[in-house]
Amino acid sequence: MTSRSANGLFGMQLALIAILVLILALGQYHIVMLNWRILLHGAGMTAGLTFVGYISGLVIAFGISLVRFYRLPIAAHGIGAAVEIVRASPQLMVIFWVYFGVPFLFKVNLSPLVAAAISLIVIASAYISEVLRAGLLGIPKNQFETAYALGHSFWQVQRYIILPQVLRNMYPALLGQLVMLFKISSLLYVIGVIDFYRAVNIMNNREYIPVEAFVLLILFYYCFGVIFVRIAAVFGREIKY
Amino acid sequence: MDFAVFWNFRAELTQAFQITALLTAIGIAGSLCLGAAMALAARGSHVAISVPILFVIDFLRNVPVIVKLFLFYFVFNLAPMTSAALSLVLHQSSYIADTFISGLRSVPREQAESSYSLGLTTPQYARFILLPQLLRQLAAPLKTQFIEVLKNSSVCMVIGIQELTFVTQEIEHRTFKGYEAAFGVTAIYLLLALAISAGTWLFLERKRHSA
Repeated sequence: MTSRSANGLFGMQLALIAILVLILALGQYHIVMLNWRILLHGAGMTAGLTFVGYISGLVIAFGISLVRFYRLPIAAHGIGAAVEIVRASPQLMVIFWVYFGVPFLFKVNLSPLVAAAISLIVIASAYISEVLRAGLLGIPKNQFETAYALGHSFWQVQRYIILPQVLRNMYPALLGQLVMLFKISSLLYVIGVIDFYRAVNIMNNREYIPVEAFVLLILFYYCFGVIFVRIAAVFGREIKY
Repeated sequence: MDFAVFWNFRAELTQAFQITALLTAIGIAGSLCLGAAMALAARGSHVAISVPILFVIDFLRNVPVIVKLFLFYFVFNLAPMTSAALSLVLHQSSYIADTFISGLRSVPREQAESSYSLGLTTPQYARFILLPQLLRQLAAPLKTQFIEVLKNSSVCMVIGIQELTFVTQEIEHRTFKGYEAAFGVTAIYLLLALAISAGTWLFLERKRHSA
């Protein structure tokens, strides 16, 4: 894409956000504001769950990708099969497994919030592990050999040689996964978590203002995808790993 | 584990399977056509067309399926099946358009110029030069996108469409056997995903050299 059309695209994105804000301001803005408490709660819940799921998922995914990259005898196949199953089944089914399955298997009571966090972590680690594994596979083999030859330990190689490159090369894909997780978190309300989508739904059921509700939803999810990611992409070039 | 629950709900599960399969088929066919069309428009030389199309693709990508369902069902008051089909098609067509754009970008411009200078017409160029290369490169990513349609069809339960995920929840509500239900329905989803994968292989990858 040329820079001229990229600018055009960004202009249109900003124009859409401005139009949506205008629609909200000219519409039943005061009725929306009456429900600010639950909307704020929902927004915080979505952001918090996404954050927890993403950060924990990143850590677990790094472990998974190492196990699969080094082909540990049994673990690599077992974990590989689990990752493929999670990636091939609908996210709602993963949420159901956790919500119905964990209490059944381990005889514990799960609150919806904990179940939501666990299912997001499961989803995030499965998807991100594939990204990180692709990053690991993209690093030339002689870098590992050189690092070992220079006397680095296994974890030193991972920490100072491999991980920084994987994170830098895969930064766009990792940002994409963050947006994906943010969108997936909108499914969590099926097990009773009041996230932003559910909060807007509750407001709509109470007041019946579907247009304003829809504009709110679009603003929330679209702004995150466009503005946050654009800012993160700019800062990502300057991170020191 | 008590799998007799499946036999008791066989009628519901069969019907749900049909609905899921129907939604997935509509979603795949529609998003493939719309996605390819959007990709061609976005790759065109008219900035007045390509930039708005890129904007639309970006917009559709950044909005979750569930919000699209909300738009068609609650704001436009369409029928549940219509809303579901429209949402699935619009959502996945943006991803498929992106796949096609990157595929089209990977075919060098010189190939078009050489084929025209050799006297090929545009349809001939598309049929014999462009399409075989595109199919080879895009078979794997398109397969992922088709399976994504199947996965997203489960979200349609939120507007009351009685597909597989809806029946899972129904079994849980009626018998408290949610774990068995989720286990079995996941197996059905995996089989469907394998079927999509095999179908893509049959129609795209196997013919990659002769297309």
